[in-house]
Amino acid sequence: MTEALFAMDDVTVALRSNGRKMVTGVGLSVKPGEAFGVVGESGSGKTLLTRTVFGLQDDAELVSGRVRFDGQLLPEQGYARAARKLLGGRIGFVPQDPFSSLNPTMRVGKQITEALYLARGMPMGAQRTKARAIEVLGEVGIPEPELAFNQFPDQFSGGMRQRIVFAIALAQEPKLLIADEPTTALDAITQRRVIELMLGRCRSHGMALILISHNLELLRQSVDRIAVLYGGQLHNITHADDIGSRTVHPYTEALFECIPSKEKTLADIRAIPGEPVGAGFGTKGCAFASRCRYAEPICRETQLPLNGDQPGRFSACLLGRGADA
Amino acid sequence: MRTLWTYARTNVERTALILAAIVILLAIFGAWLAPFDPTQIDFRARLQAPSWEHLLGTDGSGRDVLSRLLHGAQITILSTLAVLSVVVVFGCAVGMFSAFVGGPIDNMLMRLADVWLGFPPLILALGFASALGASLEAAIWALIFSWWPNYARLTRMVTVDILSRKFIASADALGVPTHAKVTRYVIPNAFDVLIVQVTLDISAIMLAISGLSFIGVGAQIPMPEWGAMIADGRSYVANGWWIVLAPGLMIFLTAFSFNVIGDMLRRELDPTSRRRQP
Repeated sequence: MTEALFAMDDVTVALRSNGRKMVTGVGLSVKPGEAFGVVGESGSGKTLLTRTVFGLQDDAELVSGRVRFDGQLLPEQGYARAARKLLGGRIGFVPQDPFSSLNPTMRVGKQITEALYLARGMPMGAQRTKARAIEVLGEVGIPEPELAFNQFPDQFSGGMRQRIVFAIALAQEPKLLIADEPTTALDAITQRRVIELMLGRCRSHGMALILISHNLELLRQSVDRIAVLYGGQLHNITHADDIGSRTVHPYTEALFECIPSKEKTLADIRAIPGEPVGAGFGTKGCAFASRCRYAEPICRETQLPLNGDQPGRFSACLLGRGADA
Repeated sequence: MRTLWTYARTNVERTALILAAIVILLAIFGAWLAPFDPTQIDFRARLQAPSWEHLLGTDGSGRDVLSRLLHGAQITILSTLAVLSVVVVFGCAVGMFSAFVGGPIDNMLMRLADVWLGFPPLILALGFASALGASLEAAIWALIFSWWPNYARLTRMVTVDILSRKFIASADALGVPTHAKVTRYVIPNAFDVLIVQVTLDISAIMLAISGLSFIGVGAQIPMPEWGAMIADGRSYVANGWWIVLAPGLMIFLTAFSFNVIGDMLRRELDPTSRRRQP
């Protein structure tokens, strides 16, 4: 078994202002070259968790848990600073919205060369930097990269802008790329292409990818393993192929049943009853118990089991559903 | 320059651009074009109406009004620029610092700026004049003193807005250091808003300097500052109307053209103001 590239163990995130715990006890690990998905409804805490773990969220902090990257344990004191140092070089971060993620007053080429410079910490000569930037633009599928180098972001379409955002992140040659809903603003075909682009990079460069999305179907088709968050709790880590083919956590199962597909009749598509619980609801027990069809009284009372940082499957179901059979 | 011209939609705006260009050229080259020494007193030639020798006539002490006007362009524009540059640099620095730091320091600085704005510039100028002696320098200092909070507040507001945008989060994720964020992310994105304010303030500051000179706490006679020229000429209005008309017209036209340009820039550049069709 290969050493995990990135691992978090029993991570709890709380708001700085009132100390409310928004995400509790999340443990997961990502191997080098692995494509890993994080799925959850809006408000499940997936963005908050990743942004806090990488030191980008100013109003929330890690109150417990250990985070390891590339064999190095991040310190508890000055955690956010230490995590941020990893960004822009070893870890790349692709934000949600390509329309507002590029500096509108800076030429595209300049934004890539800046990223290159920041990742290397030293200039490599104007000509070579430019050549490399154009190369990266070509790699992400921008037609006429020489021309694009001197253009401003507003001269590109949404899909092209997302590619440019990737080009900026990939120029730093990160070992781990975190993409937070990178395709939400794009149409279905462009979505597919952008995801393919990232997966291709995983295969060719051995880069690990954490793809955060609310779209289970998109993740199921693209990544190796998926972590399922609900109400700020980690409920399930499962292989993408297992979803729909073998028993998984009841919530994952319910999510999958919501996805329409060719094989399903209308009656097979079942919405989850009730309203989603947001992160930080603050009771003990399973957050999904109120909507779960299998729920028993024990579900509302017992603390959820924790996942270590071991790669593999995990189900937090208190009734043992979806645990390795 | 060409972009500026393409912004112009009406003839008034085109006229304003041409006038502003002429005033700026006069400020640079006017002193060489002046036919006479602007402070040379000639009592044999006092209060002469405009003629071929003295195109704009002479004033109460026989000084050539045209020469004074041309030299005055330089004085007026230069002192306006002096005030503006200090005020913009200092005000923007305070505003950006405030926005970057945030928290109680931000609050404190902005409340200080609010209180500061309460001082009327005229009273401040009178205070400066009594402390430093009435002079153009005193007027310039007084204006610098009272004007910077405008820029601190504006820049702080714009910077806070820019810092909340997504591309700043992306820059954080790339590891862009603060100094690069200021120069490459904040300043370029704040530029549009600031340039509008600067253009509008050119006329406001010029009027303030001329106004201070007119009431006697700014430039002193015989310095050919436009406001001081009007102050000097007002006692001769009955038999020397050209003495006040020339500098008055210059002040009016300059203030007018920079104001029109400022409004034009606001319309074209400021995304928060609705686009009006002429």
